[in-house]
Amino acid sequence: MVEAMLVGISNILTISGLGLMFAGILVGLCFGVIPGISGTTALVILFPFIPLVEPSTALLLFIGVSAVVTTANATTAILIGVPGTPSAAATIIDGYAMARQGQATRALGAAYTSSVLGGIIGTLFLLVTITVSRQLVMLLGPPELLMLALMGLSTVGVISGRSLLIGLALAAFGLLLGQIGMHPQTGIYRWSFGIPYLTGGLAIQPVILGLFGLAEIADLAITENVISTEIQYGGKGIWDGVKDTFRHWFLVLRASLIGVMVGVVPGIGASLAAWLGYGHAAQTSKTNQNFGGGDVRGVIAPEAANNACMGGAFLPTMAFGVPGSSEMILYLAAFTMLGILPGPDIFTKHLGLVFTITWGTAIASILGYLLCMAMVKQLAKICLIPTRILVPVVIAVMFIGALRVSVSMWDLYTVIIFGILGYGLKRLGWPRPPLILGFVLSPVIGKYLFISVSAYGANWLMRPGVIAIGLATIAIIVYSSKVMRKTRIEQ
Amino acid sequence: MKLRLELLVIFILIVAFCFAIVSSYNWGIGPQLYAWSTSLAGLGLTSAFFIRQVRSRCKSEGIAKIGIETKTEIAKSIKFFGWVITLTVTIWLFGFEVSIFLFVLSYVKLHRGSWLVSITVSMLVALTVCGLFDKVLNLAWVSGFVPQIMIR
Repeated sequence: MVEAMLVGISNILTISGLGLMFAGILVGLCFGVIPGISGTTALVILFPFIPLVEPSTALLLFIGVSAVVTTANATTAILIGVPGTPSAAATIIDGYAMARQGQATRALGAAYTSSVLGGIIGTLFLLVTITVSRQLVMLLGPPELLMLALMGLSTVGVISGRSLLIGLALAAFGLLLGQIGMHPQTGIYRWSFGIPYLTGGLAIQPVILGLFGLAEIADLAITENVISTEIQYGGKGIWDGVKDTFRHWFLVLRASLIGVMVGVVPGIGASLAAWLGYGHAAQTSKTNQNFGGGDVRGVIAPEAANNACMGGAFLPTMAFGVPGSSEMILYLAAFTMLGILPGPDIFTKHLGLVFTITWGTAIASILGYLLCMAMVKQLAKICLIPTRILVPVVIAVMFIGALRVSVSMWDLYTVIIFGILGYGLKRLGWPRPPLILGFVLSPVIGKYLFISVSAYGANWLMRPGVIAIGLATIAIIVYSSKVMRKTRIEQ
Repeated sequence: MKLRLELLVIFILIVAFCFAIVSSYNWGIGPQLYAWSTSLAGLGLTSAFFIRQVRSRCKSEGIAKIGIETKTEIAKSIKFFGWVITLTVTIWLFGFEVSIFLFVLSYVKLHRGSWLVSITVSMLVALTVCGLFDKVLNLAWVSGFVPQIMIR
């Protein structure tokens, strides 16, 4: 084991290893900052380079990208209310509110620091569980996964703020939107109206870009405001964010563990991890009245969760050859291209490579963090750009991002439809996060509900894991509703 | 305006939930169970919210007085989304690169931007699209209806 760990680190500490990782980090930074273009696109573009490089270091190119995209994606989410990738959507709620209060640098400092800590915790989890990973993943069957998704849905109560009833209705609407497209088990087309674009379901990028990005930009353009008239410059704002993160270290740890758990479950992804992290922060905070209005914990939790997700996602990819996310599909392809077969053998024959991935993720996260922190002051100036320049440029960038999904006009129609809906909800003061949470969770709930009922009938409800998660969910709901009631009375 | 917008969104939600219930009737037990449970829950919640809003409005201020918004704000909203829809139509007609350049140029210029700023910003955006995305990353764009006809 120790020998493999040393092999792993020595693979990185070579000129080609560090060079490839740094190239990946730079690409990841660019793609993380451009709204709507995910890390998967960056990996696709870099994919042809994989066979050209030494196998022991080739994956460092990918790791550089993946480790940094989820850190850099918070930048535009905080500064202009448009997420760099869908997993940063949860950061908008409090991050953008902080930027509008002149605290952009503090929000960025907190986001980057919690991201890197989340990445490191995810990596540590990967290190610790390498040997027991198979047993760990086998503990979760479809009924348990369904209950975990329902546990995620229970956060709607808190992220709805004061509009609980309409928040729940919008979550139901999100669940409905998430059902559009072909039913994966029966092949029935649900509300696709014969439009080929809808047969695969609504893509998350245009929905998020519309609901949050276009709605925020519309608000900015219509009210003719700048994002902020002043920014807390200098080290103070940034370091305040860093200090906030360490002050809330236990929240970082909990959110990271949520991220890791979501990452372990194949096919769910970092977006859900971020929302669950956000919901958990709001649910468990003793003073949650400021959530949604610029609470730094609303930035810390989703950023830690979505970065930690990657460590968890490596587990099923390497242990079973089951990719935990779309990015992991490309990792799987890269493994195959390099002649490495994922499965139990990877932990015996290629343990050195496993440690290269583990160390590489941690080192790339730290390097990416340092780069992001060095650019905070310059990036924060985006908030001062006049609306007449910022609005068309951001719309152009959002359209570029939206068109990356399927290069179809339907991507743009989706952005506009959800932009109008998002702006309407914003004007009414109705919460948008429940809608997107329902949308993200819908395919997961639908899939595991179908499998659970088909395989176990009603008996799936009697499984010990299901009962335990169900009781935990009830406890969380009771606790958070008590806190909310107490907060309302105090107000 | 606020009340009308509120009613409009509630109406859209109720129609969507009702449509989902009716249209999923023949889907078979699995997909139908999920579609019906979410739609019925949504319909119940939206209806409850609507009733609560109407009651509270009638009790407190009276429907007629609620949320009268200035015409300028409505006009501004229509104008903004008009820009976005026009951009989409021009992309469909002329393709992505040309439309983005024209959109940024006209938006900045018509919002009291100087010619120098308008041209500089629009050129930068167009060069980024053409240079970085088109040439370096070799990404595909929507080509546009008119250029396609001209090629034929």
